[in-house]
Amino acid sequence: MIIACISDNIEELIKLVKKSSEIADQIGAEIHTILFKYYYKEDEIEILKSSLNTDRIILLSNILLMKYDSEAFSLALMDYYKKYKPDLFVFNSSLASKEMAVKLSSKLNIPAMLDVKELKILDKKLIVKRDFAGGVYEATYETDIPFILTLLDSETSYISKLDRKREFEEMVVNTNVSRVLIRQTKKLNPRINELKNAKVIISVGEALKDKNDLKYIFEIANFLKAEVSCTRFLSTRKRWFDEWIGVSGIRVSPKLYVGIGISGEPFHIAGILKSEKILAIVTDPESNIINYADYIAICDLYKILPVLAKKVKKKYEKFLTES
Amino acid sequence: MNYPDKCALVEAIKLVRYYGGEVNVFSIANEKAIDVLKEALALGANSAVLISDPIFEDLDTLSKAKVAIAAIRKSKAYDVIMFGDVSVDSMNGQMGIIVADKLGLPHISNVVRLWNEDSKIVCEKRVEDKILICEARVPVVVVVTIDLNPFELYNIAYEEIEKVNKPILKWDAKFLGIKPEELSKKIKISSINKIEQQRERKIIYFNDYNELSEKILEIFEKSAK
Repeated sequence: MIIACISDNIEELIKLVKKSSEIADQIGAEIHTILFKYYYKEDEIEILKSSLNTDRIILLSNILLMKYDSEAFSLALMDYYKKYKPDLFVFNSSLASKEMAVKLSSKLNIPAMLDVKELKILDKKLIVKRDFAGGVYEATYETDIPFILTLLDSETSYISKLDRKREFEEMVVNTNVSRVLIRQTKKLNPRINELKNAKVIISVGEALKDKNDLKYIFEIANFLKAEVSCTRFLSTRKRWFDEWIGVSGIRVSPKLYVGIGISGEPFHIAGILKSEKILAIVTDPESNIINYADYIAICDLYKILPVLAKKVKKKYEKFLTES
Repeated sequence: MNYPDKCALVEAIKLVRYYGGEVNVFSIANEKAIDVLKEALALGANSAVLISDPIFEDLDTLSKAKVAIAAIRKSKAYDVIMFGDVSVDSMNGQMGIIVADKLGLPHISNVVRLWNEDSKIVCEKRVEDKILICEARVPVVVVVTIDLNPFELYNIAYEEIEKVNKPILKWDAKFLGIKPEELSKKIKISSINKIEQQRERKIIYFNDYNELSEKILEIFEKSAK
């Protein structure tokens, strides 16, 4: 059995190989790591060649792989498939990798599943867990190999005791680019790692009417050493932040998550379920976030925020002076 | 109606109002989807087709895409095929890409804004760390996100939906020329469980905002240590 690991970025690829070895060790599978020449830098490829505990590193080579293009990358993977017929393709769950995985699924007629949370292989059957209905539910699926999946979270503390072969092969592949032209790219600055590692997160929702209202939130966050973010609506439609919290954005797991003026649509809730404690400060007593909170304050946001900001400031200034 | 699909529909209606053309809506579902298709007609779609057959139930996405493609091939010529990015239950989000791939069409996904320029569709596409402005010549497949249209603004009263008197066409496997052996159900759901949450759900009672802020501060101190 062969598990092929593919990612659109190097950090995710390293994690993916480690996670895949957890499964491969149990069932005696080989791990292939697929790299795209020109897309990965030469020094990155050298680092991966020397550090990855994998059976085979296959460098797919074609000048059209210089820039990410789902058509070019999935077509390139076809040539690899024809030669090795892997049983399982494991991708990371970035939007680019998901596109690539689905395109490959279409071209090979092998079914795919996205955003997989857990995976087991039992008697050549694949048992897969993933979110369902906005992430408030979890579904378990059963399917056969070959299969294609994108793995949502490849964090693992697993260390393989097997020393894999680490063979290297460069494979010149045929490919073609899509007929979509990119006119312009605007770089965003999503604080993915900051939010994933934050102990306290204050997140704001649509009940906050004006971006200027964020001044109270930042004052509170400053003293609490909290990260501030928002719901998808405020990020994509109002552009208050470059990222948002939720299953379609960033999934977070702080000690304390403070949701201010958040209605709590399921995709947002599913992204905060791993928080140790959730405090909901809302105006609307019907807000769905209330059903998932540990502490609930139903109040006028525009009355509580100035008072709270003042209180926090006073308390922590006193603390700083004393210490 | 699945709200990402509604966003796609509303955008399609806006496009044809501005640039001309018509909107034809397809749903692969059982008879219950008639009401959804009536809603689509009430919103302004020109025609609606229910693609339904017992052999279409519980298909995997690749087979569902096969059914969709058969229906697209039976329908009128098209410039843009639009999909909502995910269904809110299965959260799958593969159909648009597969349909585009199988039909050999360009596709643009994660679209948050789009417009027409001559015979090109131009889209603003949002990915994790950038916004891309992309263009493709028609025919093209566009997969839109819920950011495109505030779907809540397009809710239609039940009475308006009931007034719809345009016919809803029904296409089955025989009409589409699909045989059962061409379809597969390779992925089976074995269980669906609610993610249990042990939450305290304590309501903070207060007499004034001073008191409430004190209580919130206590929570900050207790929970954020």
